[in-house]
Formats: sequence, structure tokens, C-alpha cells
Amino acid sequence: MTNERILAVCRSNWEYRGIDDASVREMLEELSAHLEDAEAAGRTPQDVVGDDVKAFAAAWARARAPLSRRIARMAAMALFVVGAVLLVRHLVTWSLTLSVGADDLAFWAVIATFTVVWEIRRGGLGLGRSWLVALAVGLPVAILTRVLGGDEILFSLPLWVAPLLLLPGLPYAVADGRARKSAPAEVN
Amino acid sequence: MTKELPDAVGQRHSQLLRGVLDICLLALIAERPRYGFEFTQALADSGLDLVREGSIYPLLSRLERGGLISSYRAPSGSGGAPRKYYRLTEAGCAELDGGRVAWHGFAGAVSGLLAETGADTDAHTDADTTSTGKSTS
Repeated sequence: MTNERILAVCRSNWEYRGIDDASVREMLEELSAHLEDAEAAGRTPQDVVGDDVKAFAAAWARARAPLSRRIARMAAMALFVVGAVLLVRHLVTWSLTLSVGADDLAFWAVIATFTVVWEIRRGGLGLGRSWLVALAVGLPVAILTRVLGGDEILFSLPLWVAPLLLLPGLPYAVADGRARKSAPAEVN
Repeated sequence: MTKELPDAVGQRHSQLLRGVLDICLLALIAERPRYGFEFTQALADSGLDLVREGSIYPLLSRLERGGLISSYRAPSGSGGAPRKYYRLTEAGCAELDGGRVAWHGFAGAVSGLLAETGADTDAHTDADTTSTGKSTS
């Protein structure tokens, strides 16, 4: 396994385990430097991370942040994404209430499932791929749901729900944004 | 830094090192601030080979989370990108002192036990050999 592949596996593992962006960058920089030093000293990447890279990454993630903190972050960030989506819909439709139908739920459920599965296996999806997933996977499922189930409205959401959902994830999002800005250079 | 050791000896060596690796890392940082790769080099120079060099990182993270060490970024002597150096905190100094006392007590007790039972085993083995020799002669 090459150094680049090891760093990619570790990155995706740490991201899906809910390690914050700043920590992921710091850990990648540290591991990358070690791999380079080891290579210069004539040792293999396996001498550094062993045969099971995922187990190595998981052990480091567990040591870096306790499970309770990682779960709290993941839950807050999931709510943040839902809140952001609702807010955008409020702005686009310019209304104080959003009507949610079965097709809306199917659309977002499919995108969320696809994103989680992808990120567990391959790491961050990125903005471009997210749009592609929405168009290629979410939209057909939403249309199919509307054709099969009709366009009945299941419930309505007032405007205050969106900021309420944004609130818990806001500190994490701000910290991630700051970490991204202050990062000297992209590792891997 | 990963030496080939005979299986049984290597496994015991690895198990023993796992139990005291945190104290070893604290002792190395007490000498001077170090970054990840330097730990593995220093451990190997002391005859303590890690099965997997990267196993120090989860431990360093745990020590940092526990407030026993702190870190800062600085250029390394060998050049290249800045490295993450670890240094000892006051709590880390206290932990290291406690670890030293615990280790010396433990190692002394084990050495004493092994020396005593070693002498007994030698005596038994000699006796067995003698009696076996007698019966076969």
C-alpha cells in the first residue's frame, strides 16, 4: 500500500468517525511526515501502520476523541445540514411555511443514505459530487415517489424550525471553516 | 524499527512494552521535546522495538487528552514540513515520577521472583537429571 493510499484510508476513516476537520488535518500531517521519515530511513509504510490500516486509524480516532463527543458532533452536524437545506428552501420559495410531502422525504432520505455510505467507504463526498448524487439518485427517487404515492402533503414546517436545527451544529461548522482557512496546505 | 524477533519472545516483548510504553514516551519527552518519528528512533536505540511504529500516536493522543503532555508545531532539524512536537506538562512530570516508582517496584518484585524460582528450578532440574541418570545407569 502506498503512502497516499494509507493517508486516504485514514482520512475517510477519521471523517466518518466524526473527528473534526482541524484534527483530521493535524493527524494527516503528522502521519504523512512520519511515513516520509520512515521511507527515508528505509522502512516500509507497513512498518508504520501495520497490515490493517483501518484498525490503526480507528485506534487513533478513539484515542483522539471519546465516542460521546464524536456522536454529539455527528448528530449536531446532521441537524445542521437539515436546517441549512430547510433554510435554503424557505429562501427559494420565499415562504414562512414549508409543505413536506412523501417525495421530499424520499429525496432527502436517499441522498442522506448515499452520502453516509459513500463517506464510510471513500471519505468526503464534496460539493460537486453532492450535486451529482442529488440529480442522479435523489431526483429520480423523488419523482418515482410522487408518481406512485401522489403529491399529498404530510406536514408543514414553520420558519423557526430551520434556525433551531442549525443552532447545535453552528459552533462545529464555524470551527471547521476556520480550520480550513488556516490550513497551510492540503495533505494528500 | 520493526525487528524480527522469535515469535514467543517477540510476543512477550511486545506485551511488556505495551504496558509501559506510556511511561517510556513520557521519559523520552522529559529529556527534550520530540516529534513522532523521533520517539520510534529513540525507542529502537534503547532496544525497544515496536511491532508497529504508528502505535505511539493513539497513545500520544491519549496522553495529550489527559493533560500529561502538550504539543506545538516547529520546523524539524532534518528539514521538510514543520513537525508536531510534544513536551511534558507538570501533570506529566508527576505521572512520570509515579510511573518510575511503580515500574522499579514491579520490576524488582518480578526479578526477585524469577531469581528465586530460577534457582529452585535449576536445583530440581539437576536433581531430576541425577535421578534419571541413576535410574538409567
